[in-house]
Amino acid sequence: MLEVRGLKVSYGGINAVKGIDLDVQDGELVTLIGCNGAGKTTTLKALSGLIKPSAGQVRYNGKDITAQPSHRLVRQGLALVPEGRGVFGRLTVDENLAMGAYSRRDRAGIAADRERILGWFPRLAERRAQLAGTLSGGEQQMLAIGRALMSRPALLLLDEPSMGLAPLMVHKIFEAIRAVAAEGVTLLLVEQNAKLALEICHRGYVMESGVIALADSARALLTNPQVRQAYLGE
Amino acid sequence: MSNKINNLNKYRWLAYGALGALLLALPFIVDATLGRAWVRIIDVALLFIMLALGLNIVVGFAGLLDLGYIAFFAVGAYAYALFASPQFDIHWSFLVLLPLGALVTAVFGILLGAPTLRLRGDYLAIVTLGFGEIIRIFLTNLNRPLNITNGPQGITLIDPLAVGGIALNKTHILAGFTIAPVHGYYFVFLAFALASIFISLRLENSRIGRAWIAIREDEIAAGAMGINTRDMKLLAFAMGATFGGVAGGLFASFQGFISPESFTLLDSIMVLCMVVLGGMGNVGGVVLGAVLLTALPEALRYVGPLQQQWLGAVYIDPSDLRMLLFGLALVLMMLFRPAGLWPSSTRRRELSAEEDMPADEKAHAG
Repeated sequence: MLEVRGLKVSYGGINAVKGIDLDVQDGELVTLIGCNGAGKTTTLKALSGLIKPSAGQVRYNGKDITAQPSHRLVRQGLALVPEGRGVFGRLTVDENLAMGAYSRRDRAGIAADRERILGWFPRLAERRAQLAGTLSGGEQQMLAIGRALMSRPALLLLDEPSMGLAPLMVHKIFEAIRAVAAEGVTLLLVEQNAKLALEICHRGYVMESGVIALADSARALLTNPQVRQAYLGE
Repeated sequence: MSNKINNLNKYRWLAYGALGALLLALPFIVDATLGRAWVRIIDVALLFIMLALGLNIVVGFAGLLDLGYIAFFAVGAYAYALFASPQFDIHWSFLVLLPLGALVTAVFGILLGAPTLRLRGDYLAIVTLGFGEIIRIFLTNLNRPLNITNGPQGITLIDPLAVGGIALNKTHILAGFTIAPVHGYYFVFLAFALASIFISLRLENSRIGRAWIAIREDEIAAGAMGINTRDMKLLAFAMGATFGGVAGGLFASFQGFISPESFTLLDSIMVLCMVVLGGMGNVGGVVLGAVLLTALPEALRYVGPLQQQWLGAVYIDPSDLRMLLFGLALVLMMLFRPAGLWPSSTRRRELSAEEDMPADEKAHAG
């Protein structure tokens, strides 16, 4: 579904991503783990058209989408949940979800999807008339995911959904992510919380200073001594 | 139940009817009570409603701070004046010139928008401020080597609005009513102002309006929603500029004379104050702001004669007092009604989020 070949990204002379290959198959849950500054978020930004890669190719469903702007990708079924959530703070939960369906025009379908998504996130349903900016961090993350789902994506890119959240909330978010995947949405998850990410995903890539250091099944990575030492804190 | 709705509808139509009748009679009532000078002030207020609504599209809807908005007013005014005055001895009809002015200012809007797409907040404000000054300075200096704008002297004897030999700068008698120029222009400006209000309201609740709101709230997230942020920002600049351009053309025909001094930074700030004071993003609030800020300085002129009458002498020059009271009004407004006199629902909710929450939730549960 998603093929990345030789992707390079540089910011003003610094090579943040130094030529990586990455694949996501249809229906798969893939995670990209690594430390702060390894280039994970940069990779995701390049995939979703927020920054221009300096080299390499990104193919989605066989089509070259390298450096396409993000608004066009949404229409092709590729949605991004940006880092730091980016909910519309001064709009209500309902209005945020409606905004997520901006690329669609089928009113009945949008309304049905909204109810379905609120069904997955009961906490949001309770607060649907509340301003998104007044939600807790975890609730905002749920809203950001729900909003991205409103575009009916085939592939969802998630950038650090656990960032800055309390452990209990992190577990709730991951439950939600699992529920989303069960609906048939393909996922590429960028995470610092390697253990949780590997537990719910099929495959994982480990990124270190701009290159893919390891690529294996999630189970193998969980038992890999190198990964255990560096990322699982053992 | 349906009876109730019918009654409500009936009342609503009655209210619209009464408002319509009032707007039609207003210039004659004001003429008879306050004098003709006030009819002129109302005409100017209608122009400022158009300007403020145009700026509201850029600042209020799309959240792009523009400090050079008056430049579009200037471009519109000159686009009309150059082709309807003895300057080049061209006298085209306003039926051609107003759409042309709208088009030209839309292009200028895009010219300003394109290089500033990546700018936000303070930086955007500075660039737009520069743009406003550039236009004004160009208009001042485009009299050499080829005299286009007639420089600081401005353009005089601009043609009035006229259809089939009936010009609005003459007094006409119609069915027993004396229609002075200010009355005639009142009706034309009223039509344009109402059209601006209508367009603004429609835009606010459209897909385009929602895209602008998303851009205002978070540009990256807006892109992630599938909104083409570049095109939408350019559209905001172009549409806002168009309102200003049409108002400029009307202004030129109304005044009969324009010069670069009619379009200074202070004028840009004045229009911005109307938007902010009235209630950024809310069409009703912006209209209210435009009316109040046009009328208030005029009303303060009466302070001079009042001093003379009560105190025997003029101690404070009304013109000094005007700016002083104006500043004071701004400070008080920002302290007590930071979202404006009549804020948009989004801003009102944000500023009183705490108190509103239980009510909102209750409303939804019920």
